[in-house]
Amino acid sequence: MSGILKLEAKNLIRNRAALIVLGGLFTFFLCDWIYYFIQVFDYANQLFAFDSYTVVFSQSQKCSLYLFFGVLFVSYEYFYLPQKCNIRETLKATCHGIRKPMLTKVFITCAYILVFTFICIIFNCLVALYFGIGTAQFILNIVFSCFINYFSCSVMAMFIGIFASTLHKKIYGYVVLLLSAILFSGIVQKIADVFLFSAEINIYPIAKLFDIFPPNLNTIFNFSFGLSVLPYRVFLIAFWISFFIVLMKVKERNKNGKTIFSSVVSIVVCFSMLFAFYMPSSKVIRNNDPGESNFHDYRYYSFLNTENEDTCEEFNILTYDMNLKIVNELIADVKVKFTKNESGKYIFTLYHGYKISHIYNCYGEEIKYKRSDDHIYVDISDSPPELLFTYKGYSPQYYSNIQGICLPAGFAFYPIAGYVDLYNVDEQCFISCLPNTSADYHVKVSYIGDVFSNFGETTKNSFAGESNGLSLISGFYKSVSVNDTIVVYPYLCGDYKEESIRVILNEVIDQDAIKNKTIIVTPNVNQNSHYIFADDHIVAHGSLGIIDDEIKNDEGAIANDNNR
Amino acid sequence: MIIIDSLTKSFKKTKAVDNFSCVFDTGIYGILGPNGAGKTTLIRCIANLYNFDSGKISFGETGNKNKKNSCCNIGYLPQKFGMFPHLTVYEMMKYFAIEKNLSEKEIEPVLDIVGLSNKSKQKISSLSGGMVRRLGIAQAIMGTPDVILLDEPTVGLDPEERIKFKNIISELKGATVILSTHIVTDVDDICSHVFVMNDGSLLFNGSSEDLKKMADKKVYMVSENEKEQITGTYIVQSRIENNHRIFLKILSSEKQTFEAVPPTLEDGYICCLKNM
Amino acid sequence: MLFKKHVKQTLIIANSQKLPACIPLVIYYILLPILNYMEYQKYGMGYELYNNIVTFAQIFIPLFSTWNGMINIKDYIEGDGREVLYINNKNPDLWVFLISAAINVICLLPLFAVYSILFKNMMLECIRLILFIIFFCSVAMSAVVLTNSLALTFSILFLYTIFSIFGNHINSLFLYYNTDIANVRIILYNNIPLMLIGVLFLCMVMAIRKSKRKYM
Repeated sequence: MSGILKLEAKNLIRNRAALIVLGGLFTFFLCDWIYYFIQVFDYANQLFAFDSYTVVFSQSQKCSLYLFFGVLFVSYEYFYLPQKCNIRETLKATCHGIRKPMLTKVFITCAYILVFTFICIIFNCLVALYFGIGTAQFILNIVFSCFINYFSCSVMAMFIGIFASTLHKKIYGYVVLLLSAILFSGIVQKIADVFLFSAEINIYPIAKLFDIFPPNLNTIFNFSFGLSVLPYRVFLIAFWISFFIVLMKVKERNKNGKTIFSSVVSIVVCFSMLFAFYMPSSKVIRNNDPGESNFHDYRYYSFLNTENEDTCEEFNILTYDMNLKIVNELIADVKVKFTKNESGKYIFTLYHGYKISHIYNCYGEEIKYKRSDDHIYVDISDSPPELLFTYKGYSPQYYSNIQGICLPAGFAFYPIAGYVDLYNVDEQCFISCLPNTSADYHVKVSYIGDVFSNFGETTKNSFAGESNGLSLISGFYKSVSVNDTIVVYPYLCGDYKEESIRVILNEVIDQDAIKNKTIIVTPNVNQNSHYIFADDHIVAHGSLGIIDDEIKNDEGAIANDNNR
Repeated sequence: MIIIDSLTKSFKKTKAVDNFSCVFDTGIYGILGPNGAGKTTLIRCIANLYNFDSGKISFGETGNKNKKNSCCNIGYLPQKFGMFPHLTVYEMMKYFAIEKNLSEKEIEPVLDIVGLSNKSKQKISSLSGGMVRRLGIAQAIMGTPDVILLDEPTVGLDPEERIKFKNIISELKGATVILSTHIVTDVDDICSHVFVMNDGSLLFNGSSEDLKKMADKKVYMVSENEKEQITGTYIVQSRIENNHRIFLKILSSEKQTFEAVPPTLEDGYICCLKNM
Repeated sequence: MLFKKHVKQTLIIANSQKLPACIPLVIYYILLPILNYMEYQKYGMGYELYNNIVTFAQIFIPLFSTWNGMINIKDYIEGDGREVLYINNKNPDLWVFLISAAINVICLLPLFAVYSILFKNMMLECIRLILFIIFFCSVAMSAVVLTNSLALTFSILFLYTIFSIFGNHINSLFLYYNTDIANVRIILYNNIPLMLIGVLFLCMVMAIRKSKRKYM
């Protein structure tokens, strides 16, 4: 095996043209990384150097795009070589046939791609370690991210190249290559935007099939979430790889039992991956996809008719017993006890992205309900005021997935009492829906990572306490205690080093404003809305610096409201 | 030994090989036929490169159909043969040796046989077309396979190389060599047994002597002046100039007044094709 | 006379390509108009439509302007027995490529004419596009001669296109993609130099080919 490996490697290396393209790519990557590396160190002496990380991590993710296209065309040339040199027929008549040389070529191409992947990993890890954010969690994130973006995307490109090289006519091979290149570049998303904004035709369900590259390449790096390594990306790439394997199997002339079996397996895998990709899941995408990106809410609420606001007799929620499970989306069992009202009719507000499966009364009987957008209408005049909501779903803005959780208080990810408007279309942001009254919370979260909350932890990922809101956060977070205040902050962000937080809390912010409160810093996913002030905690979407002024403004606003 | 029984292979509506049956024992066999006769298709079927529509191909005396074993004992030189231009001669032979599960020791002897030992360190791209062809022959005979399939092996070879090739093939003992060509002289010099194919069908199966005999008393040498005396239909095989006189060598199934000349294999081949 | 001969040869080759040769026409006369029309329906004859036309024209037209040339010279570069094509002429592939590209540009003229009717400034945009086409064709032909491979040439062209569109280095002389409204200054100081760089590169490559007498 090693003999043929060396010979096939020589075949690639001695092909000057292919070497120029691959070597050129390699040189370009190195120069690009070195350029940004130097830029990073220029900023290194500044206290708030958070911009530098984003440049390095974003730029290295972008390079995976260029590697994909380089490998796509070079692998076509490489795998087409036996046909070009008229040696294919001779090889097919031998013991191992064409299979062994093909597998060797696959191995060599994968090895080349791996070299790129490892260099990218090492480069990103060095930067992370230098700036003190090289925790095991983030290093693992970098490794997985590079394997998805560099290795698996480029392996997919290799399979496209192999398929194109098996086509009888060269011209069809070029058509496949060019078509693949255009579809998998960002050009399809540009076309989808035109269809959506100009003609209200949503082709994103198809366009997202070609969105294999890291999402959010042109947006601010999400310090809480890190680099996207969500399962749907793996499913998508696996789908395309199995798709092209299926196409190659279909093209194979000599079909025997083994080939048919492997074809069937490939087809099953292909469809399974496609199905898994289209399963609803929480993603962190900031493009114009009206289904799954943060743009969804603006479009949804813009078309919503909110003129007739329903009301019901006021009631307050007394306790929440929550069993939450977060894998690809939020799966919740929430038992709610609330004050009784005369009519027995209640309206709850729950973000429309969470689909209700069942609602049970205290006797365990399923009750009928009406769901209209974010609002749930129930009539339980003949049973005590206690309901169990089972629902699952996700919000494109406030994500809850295997990589991170961003469910702050003020966002209706659990049923809120009354009819509450959740979104302000003019300002394009969510409105805080914190009630005025407190409730008892007992929360258990089944989650792979550590979850932070405004409440104290009773056991791992289980919380209990009393407040008018619940915040759950997870991802690249640490917590620090300063005087009587706990700050939960995203440690990847240069703004939030422990020393700088202590400086702000000790010297900048008015101590009384934040005493005995928990401050949770979330990613800035909700534009135009920077702070949420609950009874026992503050959710900060931006800088901590002016938090005390904001608290005073908020208290003043509340006082004014009360005076009215 | 190769036993072919009622082999049929079609490409869409065209029958490339039509109900072909024969037995190839140890020895050198020539398959003659015009372009499009189905020779290459037949060779490829034997080499297991095509799935045929019907029929059977068995290898060995026991009629062993184990394709894996038989593949390892086949040396194949296709009509269109090339090599990786960036590898050296030795590297290319090593590549084939690995493909055929042979050791590197098999390489030097075959390079000697084809006269390319002194070029072993040169790149394939620097070799002439004839040398590449010789290298193709070398890879086909490497490892002393039981079955050697050669499809138009002398294409691109100069006369000296063709003689060398014929000597190489003649010296192969104990193997079944099948030579597919439309150059009759190649078959005449080395093949003991000849098959003639046309339009996918087998027209003739016998020794080269028997094929020559098909044209017995049908070949005439006629002076160009006497052309009008030829009766019936005839085919002009060649024009020969001798002492400023032009003679026509003709093939005619009708008895002519002229003296018949001894037929060659080519004459027999034409008679077979034209059904004379 | 010679030119006529090359045109005839090119037309024979082009006719034999059949369906794949129509791909640029599908892009120019189906995809682009659909995108433009949708924008027009929503926003009318405003800046949005102008931007839409310029953006998608710059994305697709320069890349696909090389398509016909490349597939027509396929057999000159990669075909078996291609030496016979070089007997009477040392650079037949260059002639075929350039004539194919010229035919491609001629096919584009009706589209350019319609764009010019819609917006006055489109005349300048069209001139800019033609300069890009010349640049792309020059790079394509040079890459074909240097690499002797159409697939690798496509890879170079495509990587360049993607980097120009999605790369961070805007307003660089070497990156063609620029959706700023065309004016004489941009054309004179950015686009013409870029085109000249491409043509110069092609001339250098052809001179090297001639000096090495390496036509295959």
